[in-house]
Amino acid sequence: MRTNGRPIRILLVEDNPGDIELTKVALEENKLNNNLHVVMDGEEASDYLYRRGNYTDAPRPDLILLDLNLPRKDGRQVLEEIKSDPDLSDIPVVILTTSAADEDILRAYQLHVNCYVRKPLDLDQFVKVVQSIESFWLSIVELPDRE
Amino acid sequence: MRIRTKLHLSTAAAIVGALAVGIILFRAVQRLDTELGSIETVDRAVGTLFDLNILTHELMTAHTQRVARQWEASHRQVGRILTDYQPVTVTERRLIQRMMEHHYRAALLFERLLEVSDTSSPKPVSVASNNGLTQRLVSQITIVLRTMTSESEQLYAATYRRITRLQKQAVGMAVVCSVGMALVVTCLAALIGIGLVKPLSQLREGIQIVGNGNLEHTVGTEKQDEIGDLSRTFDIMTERLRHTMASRDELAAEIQERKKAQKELQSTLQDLKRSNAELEQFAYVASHDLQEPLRMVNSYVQLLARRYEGKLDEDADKYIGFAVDGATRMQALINDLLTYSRVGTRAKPLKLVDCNSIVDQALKNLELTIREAGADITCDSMPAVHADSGQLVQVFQNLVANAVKFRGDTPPRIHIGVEDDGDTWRFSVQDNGIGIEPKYANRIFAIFQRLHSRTEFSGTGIGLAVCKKIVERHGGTIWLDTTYSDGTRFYFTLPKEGQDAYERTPHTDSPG
Repeated sequence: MRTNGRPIRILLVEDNPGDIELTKVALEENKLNNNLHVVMDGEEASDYLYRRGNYTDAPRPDLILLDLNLPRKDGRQVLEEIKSDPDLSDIPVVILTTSAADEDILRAYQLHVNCYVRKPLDLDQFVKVVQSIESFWLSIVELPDRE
Repeated sequence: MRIRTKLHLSTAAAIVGALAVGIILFRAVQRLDTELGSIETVDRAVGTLFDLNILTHELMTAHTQRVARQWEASHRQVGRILTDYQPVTVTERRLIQRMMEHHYRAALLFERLLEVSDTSSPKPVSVASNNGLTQRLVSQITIVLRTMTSESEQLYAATYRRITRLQKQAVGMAVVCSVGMALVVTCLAALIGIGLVKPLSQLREGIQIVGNGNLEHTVGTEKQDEIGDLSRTFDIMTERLRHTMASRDELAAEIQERKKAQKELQSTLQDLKRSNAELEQFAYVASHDLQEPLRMVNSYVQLLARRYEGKLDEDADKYIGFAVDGATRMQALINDLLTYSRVGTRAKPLKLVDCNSIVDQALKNLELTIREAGADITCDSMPAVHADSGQLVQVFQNLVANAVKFRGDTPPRIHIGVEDDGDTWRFSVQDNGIGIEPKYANRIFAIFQRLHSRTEFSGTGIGLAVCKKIVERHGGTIWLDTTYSDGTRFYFTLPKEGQDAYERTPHTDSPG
């Protein structure tokens, strides 16, 4: 991804502080230059993406890590919003959740999620998964330049 | 008394009566006959006396020997009649006696007459020499004869009166006998009739009452005749019917009770099914929801270990180690619990599947383990069965995994077999491992049951419990072959017609 030297911007939509912390640890250990922003519910995520309320100056994220079960506005709704908006639909969205339900997986892909990842139970695995996601989407794949 | 006996007696009485009447009438006729004979005799006597009278007078005019002989013959005849005559009454006997005396006197007078007159001369008596004496004798004879005639007439009259009386008597007797017979027969008929009508109407009434459904009614007669028998038989029939109805009622009540029991059983069964399903659901939800906080505990304990191992004191490292171990184990248990509950909650419909591919899949899943243990696995040719393929793979996988895991010192040799048991296929997985003591044959199938310490063999003790649940869901049974001592041999059956398996509405994990 061409970021022209600036840190890559990751938006984490997660209501569990434990997972937020673990994600941070994983990203820190990956040592990629990143800028993580966290919102804790779906409504907030929408505000951030549409630069509403407190987020009028919020930058456009390069990658969105989205949990499915969120307070106020569900992750599925947030996903649908992003993927149905031409301005946002090209931002890669990765679902990172504990749900392994077939219908959740199917629904997410039908809403054009970029990938669906289940949170591993083990710390090492978790770290590895988060790092893989980051590396894959931010250094391996080519994405359109929207800057 | 029995009706038949009564009828017999009545008939006998009628016959006896008829006979008696007959005999009486016969006797009357006989007597009448005798009397008629008597009257005839008397009539003849009167005739002969009349002849004698005429002959006596003839002697007066033509005293001939012929007339004398005729007179004597007639006189003898009268004598015979008198001798033969059977007097009935004392008066008759006296009359006869007197007549006999007169008869004798007539004979004496006639002898005297013959003496005084010369019978050889053809002259009449009246013209004979001793005319006066002859005249007197003839008139005496005439008087005697007239007396006898009169006596005969008396006799005739008496006999005639008797005949008239006899006739009247006979008629009277006939009438009396007839009326008597008629009365007796009527009385007997009435008696028998009365004896029949009352119990018959009683019986008819009883039949009507019972027919209307009152089975408690009895005719209850004391009579010993055929109707009594009939009534008693009817009562017995009613009694039996009552018993039958009673047992039918009992039966109906029992059926009702059984139906109720069955209904209760069904509702209990349904409750049980529901509670079982709820329990499974609970186990599933609980284990699923427990995973989330446990993931936190586990991750952060691991993070602690990663960041601070060796930086704190030795005890801290040890404690962190225990915490990591405990959390990891708990995670494994919860995972197994999820797996176990999913057998019920995430069941798929049974389909005809080829067991060969099922076994292949199971062995493929265990490929690494098998290779590492250097296990030698042989397999019979497998049939097709009705099964949830994912679950059946799990059964073979768990059994083979156990066979590899619990190996002895020699490399494991494992055989997967199958036998045709008629309605079912009997599968077997046998090994040459450490074996299981027969006393644990049942315990091993319980959830989280382990026979070895974790340091000897890893695992939570879920594998066989899952196998049992899956096999039972498919309508089969699983057991340890306790006769096999060269290792361990498990058998499990699957019905050839896979219809017995229970079905659940599959549902999916709730999102976490």
